[in-house]
Amino acid sequence: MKNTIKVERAKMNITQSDLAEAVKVSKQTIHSIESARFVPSTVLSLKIARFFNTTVEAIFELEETD
Amino acid sequence: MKGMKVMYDYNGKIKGIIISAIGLALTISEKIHPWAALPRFSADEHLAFFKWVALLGLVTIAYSKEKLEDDRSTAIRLRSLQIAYMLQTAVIMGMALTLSHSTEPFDASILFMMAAIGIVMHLLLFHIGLYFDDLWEYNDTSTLGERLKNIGRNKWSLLVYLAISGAMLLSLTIFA
Repeated sequence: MKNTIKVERAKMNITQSDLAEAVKVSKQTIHSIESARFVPSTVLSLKIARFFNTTVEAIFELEETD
Repeated sequence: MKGMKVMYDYNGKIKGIIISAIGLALTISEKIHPWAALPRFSADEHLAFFKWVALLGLVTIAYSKEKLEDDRSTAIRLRSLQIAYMLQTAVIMGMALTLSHSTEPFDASILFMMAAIGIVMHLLLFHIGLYFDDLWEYNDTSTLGERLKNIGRNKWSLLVYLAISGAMLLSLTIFA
């Protein structure tokens, strides 16, 4: 599953640490999600989407391999 | 299992480190210069107890949450437990088979028992989770009161606990 968290962060000019603090996870978790190594839970996905004031589908997208 | 708390909070990790450090310090002191605080017990028995304390600390650390517990840390913990459990079972089973054929007299039944307890418990819990969703708790319940209330609400939990205990006793009898 790919995502646009890095792009959204760049738009808002915030760091991984800022996002991590906002959604109450570690910075490493945000890094792992951004690099598509870790797929977050529905709850965390919704929190991230809410933080960027958008929908989950706008941030996360299924890939052929999923 | 419903009403069961598996993980301590982050404080448990700090307590675990302290317990482990005390156990380790006492073990080292006992190794360097054997001593016995309680005359009823030998220095060797003291040493065994100190090692036990050090291990208890490690177990407490292993079963404590991180300061910032999130999806990733939970997933990593599950994976590391899977790998550690697999390796431990492999070592125990390997030793059980090897020592059963050893020329030295050694009762390997304890090793078979240790492997059996782990596997039987895992299979029981896994299949209860798979087929009896009402009995399964996907997350730790937070307080003791809440846990007791959960058991009270669901009498089946108690029956399942008893069934697990029975199965454990049975496996001990079979493999002992």
